[in-house]
Amino acid sequence: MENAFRFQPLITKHLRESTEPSTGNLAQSGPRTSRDCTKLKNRPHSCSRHPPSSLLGGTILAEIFYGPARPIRFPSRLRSQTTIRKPHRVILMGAQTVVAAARSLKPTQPRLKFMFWLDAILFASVCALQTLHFTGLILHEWLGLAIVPLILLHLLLAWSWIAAETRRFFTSQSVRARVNYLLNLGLFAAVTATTYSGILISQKAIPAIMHSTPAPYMDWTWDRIHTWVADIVVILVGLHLAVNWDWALAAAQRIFRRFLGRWQ
Amino acid sequence: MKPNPPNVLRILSRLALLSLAAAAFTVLTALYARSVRTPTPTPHWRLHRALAPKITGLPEFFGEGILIAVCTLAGRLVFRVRLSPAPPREKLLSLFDSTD
Repeated sequence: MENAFRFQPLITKHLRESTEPSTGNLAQSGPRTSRDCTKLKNRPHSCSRHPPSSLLGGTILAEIFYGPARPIRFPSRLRSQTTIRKPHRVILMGAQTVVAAARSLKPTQPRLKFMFWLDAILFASVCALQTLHFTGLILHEWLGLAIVPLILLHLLLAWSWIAAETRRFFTSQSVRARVNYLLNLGLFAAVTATTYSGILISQKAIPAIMHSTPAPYMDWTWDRIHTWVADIVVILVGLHLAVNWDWALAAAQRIFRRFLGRWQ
Repeated sequence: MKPNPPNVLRILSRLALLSLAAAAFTVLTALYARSVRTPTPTPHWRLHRALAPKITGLPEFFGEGILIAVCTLAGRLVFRVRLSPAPPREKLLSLFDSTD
């Protein structure tokens, strides 16, 4: 019993190191020494007290940290370049996440604006793609192809969330976060299936790109798959928006604040 | 302005990962398509697919938006009520806290 007490700190330390992810341990507790910070240097954005310089570059509005909100103490040389605000616990990408907002001297608004308008365009595109009667077949096919790079851009912008949630999926994760992850994965799968089936049954766009003549008959199986997977995409887009509603609302409020102010 | 090579590499590697995942889902879709057999359509199916856009279909466009909004509303109810309690209003208000 006495031995157990004596070795308890060592056991605790061992357990912490063996069960937690390599950076999560430090990031959750916060690096206490400069050596801790050095351990994190290859994993940017993991250290909540000593964020990397990219955070201060002015292009990133918010960074996902692994641990709970803690006061950020920046080195004095960085303090002079950046206005630091206290971190907040917010709903980001559907999961409660701690976000430290570092406001650089450069404006951060463009990135937020870009993300918001990209998502708005994607939303409108999904609505338009579902209404073949409205767009017509030619516009439908070209719009379907044009949406692919936009989706890739959307995913690249959310990469930090994707990487963090994939890493955390098999470890400790709340039900909400797991559902959100599976929902997004399902949406990605459904969009992929829709795009692939759309390419296979394309009558105008793909033959024009490939300089070939369209098939005299359309594969009806792929057409049916294309239709019902597109219906699933609509439902999943709605749920995706539901999970990220707080972000969308906050971004809209921030972007349209100027206009709203005029009306008030 | 010179592009930063590590950033370009990072983006390319992420795109490669996404393409890999997309390829996996494509294979699964192809496997499914091979396993199902759909009856052939009536010869009039082409009539439903006009090549040019029609402004008369505009209400359908808004209808799709409303459908997504309904799904969003349903999702909001499920995610807030079933999976986790609604966050306090103060937390929501702290989103993108104003800088002043």
